[in-house]
Amino acid sequence: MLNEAISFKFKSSNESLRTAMKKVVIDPVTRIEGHAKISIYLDDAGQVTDARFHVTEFRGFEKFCEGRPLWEMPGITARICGICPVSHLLASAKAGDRILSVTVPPAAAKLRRLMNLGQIIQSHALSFFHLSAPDFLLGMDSDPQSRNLFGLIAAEPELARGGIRLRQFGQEVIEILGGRKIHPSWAVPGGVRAPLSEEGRDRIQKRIPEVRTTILKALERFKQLLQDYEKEAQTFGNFPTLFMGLVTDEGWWEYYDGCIRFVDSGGNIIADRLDPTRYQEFIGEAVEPWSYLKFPYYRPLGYLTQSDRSRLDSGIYRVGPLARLNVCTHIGTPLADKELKEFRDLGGATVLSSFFYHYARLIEILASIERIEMLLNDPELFSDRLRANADINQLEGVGVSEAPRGTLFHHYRVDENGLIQKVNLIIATGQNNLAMNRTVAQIARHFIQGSDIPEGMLNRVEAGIRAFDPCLSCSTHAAGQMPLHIQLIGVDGNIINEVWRVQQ
Amino acid sequence: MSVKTLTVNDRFISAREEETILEAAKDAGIHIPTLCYLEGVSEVGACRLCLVEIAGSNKLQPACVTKVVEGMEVSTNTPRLQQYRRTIVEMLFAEGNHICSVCVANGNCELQDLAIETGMTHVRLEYHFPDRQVDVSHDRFGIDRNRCILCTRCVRVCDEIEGAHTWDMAGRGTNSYVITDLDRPWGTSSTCTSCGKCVNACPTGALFYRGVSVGEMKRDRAKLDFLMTAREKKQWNV
Amino acid sequence: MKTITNNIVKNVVAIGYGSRLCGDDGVGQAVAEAIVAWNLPNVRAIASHQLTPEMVDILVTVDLAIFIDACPTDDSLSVRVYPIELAKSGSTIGHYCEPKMLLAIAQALYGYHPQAWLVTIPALDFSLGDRLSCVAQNGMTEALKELERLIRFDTAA
Repeated sequence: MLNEAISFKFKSSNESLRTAMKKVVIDPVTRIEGHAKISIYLDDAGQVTDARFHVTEFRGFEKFCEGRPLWEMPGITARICGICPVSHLLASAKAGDRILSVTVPPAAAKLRRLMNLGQIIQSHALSFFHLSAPDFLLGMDSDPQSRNLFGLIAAEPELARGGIRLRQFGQEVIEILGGRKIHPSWAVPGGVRAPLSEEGRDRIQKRIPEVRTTILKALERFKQLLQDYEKEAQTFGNFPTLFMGLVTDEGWWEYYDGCIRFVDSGGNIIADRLDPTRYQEFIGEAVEPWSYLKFPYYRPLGYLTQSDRSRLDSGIYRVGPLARLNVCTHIGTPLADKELKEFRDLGGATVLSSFFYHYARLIEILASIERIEMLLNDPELFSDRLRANADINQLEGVGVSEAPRGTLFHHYRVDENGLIQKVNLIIATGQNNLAMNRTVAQIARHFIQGSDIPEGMLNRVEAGIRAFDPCLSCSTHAAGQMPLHIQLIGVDGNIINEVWRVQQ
Repeated sequence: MSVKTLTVNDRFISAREEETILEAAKDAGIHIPTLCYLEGVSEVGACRLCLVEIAGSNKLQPACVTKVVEGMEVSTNTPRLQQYRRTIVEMLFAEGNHICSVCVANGNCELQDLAIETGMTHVRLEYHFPDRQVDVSHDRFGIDRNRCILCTRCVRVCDEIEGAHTWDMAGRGTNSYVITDLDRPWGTSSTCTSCGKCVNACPTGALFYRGVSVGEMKRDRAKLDFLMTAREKKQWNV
Repeated sequence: MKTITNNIVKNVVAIGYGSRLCGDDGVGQAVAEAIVAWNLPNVRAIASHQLTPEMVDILVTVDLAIFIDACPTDDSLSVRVYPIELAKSGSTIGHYCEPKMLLAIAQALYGYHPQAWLVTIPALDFSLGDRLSCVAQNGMTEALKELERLIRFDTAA
């Protein structure tokens, strides 16, 4: 795949010369030249024909791992991303479990769960409170000068402080388990390295009432606002797709183990009890010449090709908070289940609009807090059997876990001694790639007419992408930051309009 | 047994006749940085970190193999020595592929400690990025030659304490590397007794217990000294 | 324990950030780790992949904050020290924050922000690996001198 991706790099320059199309390019500039950009193609009449979310830089991370002993992989992969190190740590350790052919001790599995819940809270809190909340709470068309965290702090200081405290809480859970270091190599193939102390348990427990109140308040506030955003809810990636996520054996919300379920937009389960480690049977990974980010799709329904872009019955699927809430029947905790019921009243059988990713995140924070509370009361958590010892028993292993942004797959192949031969990572942002493309197209069709690039459209494209909370640092180096560079390109390929919106 | 008196860093100390400067300084509580030196096995003076200045001689001498002499004036920490040591540590870093942040010995590494001790903030030399092999064919241990500094501690403990002489050196100069048997995979070695002394001796993350993760490798150096004391003095002190 | 003198020792936090596996991008963290080794009682050093909003809670407990970051080189190869102004209220934040954002968040949420400096170190190579290029290494040495000076100057009477 790597070679294919590289060879495409050279083709892509010709590709941009596509004629009879105008093109709008939204080009985020990241701190270190990582690049993702959005192009919106217009026809002669100035109507949007297509949209693309490009990732134009690729870092050969997989290469870096080749030749390393399997046991070092959790520590290495946790370092590829500063956003969700725990997700990679867990998926990697789980791939290792498979290669050792062990069932991890129950206490170790529960402690890993605990850490993943901390990661979900921490990550969702950043996404919602600091990145997205200003858009809703202050209004999408409000003055961009104040439509940001500071505007939010001024308007809703309590909410903003609560967001920081929620993040801290998630971070604390991670640190209590994995130690002060940001990238703990705490989960290892076979289990975990260190137990939870009773003192650590007490520290987490003490903070639960406060964070639960914070998230309940935030949910209340968010629900009040929903009615003002009917239009966004309609245009923000509101289209039928499949949804994929892990569920428990009973079909409930799951974030660490379980089976894969796909549901369609009508809420019908179209595939269930799929063994996540056999992902290659149901997930295909397409490569497009114009992006380094692969396009995973549900294999039985096939990949959408250029000629049949308008087809809906393709293998496009979404992962992440919205998908997890759409695939499960229940969450399994009282407060979150109550919220889930209300959430479901919004849509039909499934909630389709990507706009509701934000809402889903809040519900998942609540669910995670409740789950942590339940886990902490489990006496088995303090068992000192934490690590199954075994050696290489299979040459291939897939580790799957739910990262905050969606299902994360780590697939390793090792030689008989345990040295890594091949690594394939399927990350959440990749799986939402097709949906992000379609989201951008939907928003663009709604707001772009002719050669103008209205401010409100920019905000919405930004927000539409942000709904997925994309993070590319593990597949490419680009961060999820979205300062915009927009180019409007005429039929002849010349730039006829250009807007930069760079960070102040 | 006669006693010698000498000065180390302007301090009068006494030492037994057969002692090295390193041993005498250690007895007197004076620290001299070392790397290839390992208590319990022979000294080779290979790493040059324990170089000291001796009054009257312009040549620096390795403290681990230089015997004390009556009236000797030794300096262990002059600016010149500090400069030397820092350069040696930099060379060790430049010669191998040391990625501390993902190394099994991160936090328990003598090379890392020396970098801190000598105040090495950066490597002024070009990195070599050598292409070196990882061998995890042994069922209990592994070697990552990217992290090997060629101190030969493993060779010496295997030969002198265990008596198996599984480890040896091959190649020349910067292309040298440690081998098991006749450069066969460690797991196929017919001489290795799987005693683990080499793993306990290794100063970096080059030798490790199979299955350890990043930062998890800890060693028990006292084991080696314990064995030698038991063997030679018939004392089993625990 | 504070000694009873006229000079109250100021609390300092030094935050070095960047990716440790992306070559020179990790130089900020490397500097922070070197500062940890200084073992100064009033200086806390944090090495982090990135700046995150909850760091605000540390900022509001110190008198002086120093951020250390890699900066893709322009023509000059020198370390630079900038005083950090608060971010304008028009800024947005992403998955990472900038120092001025953190300060502004601290000010907005808690009505306080410490005096702050940004030390940028020239960086050339961001490819995978934890090696620093010569440029970044020299920058690190220079940066440590600057930091020593900043800490001494700003925390002296």
